Amino acid sequence: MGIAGRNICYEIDGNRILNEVSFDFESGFIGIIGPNGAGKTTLLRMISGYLKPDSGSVALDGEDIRAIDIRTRARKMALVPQNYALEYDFTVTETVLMGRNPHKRLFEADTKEDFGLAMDAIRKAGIEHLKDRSILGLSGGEWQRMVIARALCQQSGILLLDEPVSSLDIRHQVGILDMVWELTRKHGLIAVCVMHDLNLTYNYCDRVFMMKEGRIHSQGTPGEVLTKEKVQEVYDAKVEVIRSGKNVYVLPAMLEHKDG
Amino acid sequence: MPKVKSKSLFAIILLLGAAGFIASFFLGSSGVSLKEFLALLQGQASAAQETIFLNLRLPRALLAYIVGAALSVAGCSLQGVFKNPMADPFVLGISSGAALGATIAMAAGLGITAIGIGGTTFFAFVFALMAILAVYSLSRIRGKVSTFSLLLSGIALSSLLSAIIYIIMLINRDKMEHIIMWNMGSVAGATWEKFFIVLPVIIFCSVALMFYAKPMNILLHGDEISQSLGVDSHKVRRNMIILTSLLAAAAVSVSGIIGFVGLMIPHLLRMIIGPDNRKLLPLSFFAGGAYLLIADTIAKMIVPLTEIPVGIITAIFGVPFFIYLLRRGRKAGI
Repeated sequence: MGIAGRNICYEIDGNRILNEVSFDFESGFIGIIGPNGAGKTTLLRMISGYLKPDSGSVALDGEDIRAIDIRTRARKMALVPQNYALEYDFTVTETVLMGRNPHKRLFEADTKEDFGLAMDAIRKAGIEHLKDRSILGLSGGEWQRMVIARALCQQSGILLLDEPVSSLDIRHQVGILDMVWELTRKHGLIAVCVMHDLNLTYNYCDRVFMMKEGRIHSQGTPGEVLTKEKVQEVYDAKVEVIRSGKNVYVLPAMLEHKDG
Repeated sequence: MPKVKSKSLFAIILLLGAAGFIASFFLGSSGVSLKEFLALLQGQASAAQETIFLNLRLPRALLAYIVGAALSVAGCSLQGVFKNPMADPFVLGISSGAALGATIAMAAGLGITAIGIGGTTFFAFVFALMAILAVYSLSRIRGKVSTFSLLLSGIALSSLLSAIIYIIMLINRDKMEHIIMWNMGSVAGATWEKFFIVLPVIIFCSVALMFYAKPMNILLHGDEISQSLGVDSHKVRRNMIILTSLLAAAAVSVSGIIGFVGLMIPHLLRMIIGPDNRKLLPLSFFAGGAYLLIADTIAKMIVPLTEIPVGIITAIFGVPFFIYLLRRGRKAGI
């Protein structure tokens, strides 16, 4: 069960974006990390079925993702893409309600129940005060929380997130990640999350897949993956891993460098 | 958006349409006076007046209405499909494609009965479809379709098609007047036959497009997000392009090239009630109808004793609006 990738390869214009990537995502909060251009977003697009691998495959509960029809796919998997712009004057509630679409037939109107689910998601994402606002005036963080609310509204068992908190302030970063983490615990949701911040990765993820140049360099628990040696090798940067009580911090070793 | 607003807007649009119908009966050369109209309703009018009303006025008003409705719904749908506020059957070359098809049919004498639904209509449809496919693939640069590449390809193709139409026209001088009327866009040649040929096509396509209103809203978010929300973007887009081309071709095949209706009406509505296609598409239908009916009445009146093709009236209103949109850019959320 879960999502299984086998030997995924993908090229664009002769550049290898993904190279023999294999993985099994079975439960919990899964983090995908790696430097820019490592292939994280492309990998997410393979999982969502948006892109077709040149070779290899992605299976969702044993069935090839590309063979599952799009509506069924959307009932099983919701996507929180990286920040994107939309210049149409919809309200926040209207946009969140779009998350109900995979559960609806073509001409089926939104019911009270759908509306209730949307409100629930809006509340969970902490944007109740924005519900009647136009999406045109939202800040980056508000936008992101709306998109997360829409994904929650989809009520899927799998949540794919592409750097969901990179544009948020600390409070909302923690708020959103706490929420996703809770969903993985209370509702058995699988969250596959491309992460930017290594500290948040360390503290939230159950399993971490660290990518480099289109390959999975290392995988395991945060403790196993986010070691000084591995991070330095993958990111090609000097770092320090500092333990402080329950928390672990991965910091750039820049300051030390300056002093020396 | 408050519900009341779209309901009252709907009422206003229906009233405008009704007013347009009444005006079209009374105004213009050989207009019926109120007294004559009342006589007509009581069945006491002269046979000549009855003929004018029943066989000229009424089909013309009805044809203007459904053609306007079709063009407006087609414009609204294309703006959604292409995620582009500038899309319109005329701007995108669909109308010119249809016009070339119709011109070929007329020149080759494939007139009205060659194929079940009418040779002119059939040719107009096929060429409309080819035109939009050509424009879409021409404007696709590295997988993306920008406003300007779309506009430029549409205009370029339109010019090419117009040139071909002129060549055909010059070779077939005997059919020139017919072809010219066609290219300027007019409903003056309305007949009950034309009305009943295109009515089912227009109703069917418009209603079918309205079924796609929700996927259309979602499509605005782009392919990846649409698919993650359960909308098969490629399939929806393809079906909508087919329906829109059929709709535009049906309209163009009985009226010729009437520009800017599909651009103006959906835009004005969007400014008033927002971008939700579930409201926009039905409103576009009735507003487009009312607009073309009123424009046609103006076309009948503006120069005494002369008929101006309604396409000229819509261009006079439409071009400044088009320029205004271009200049305003995409700031206001359209």
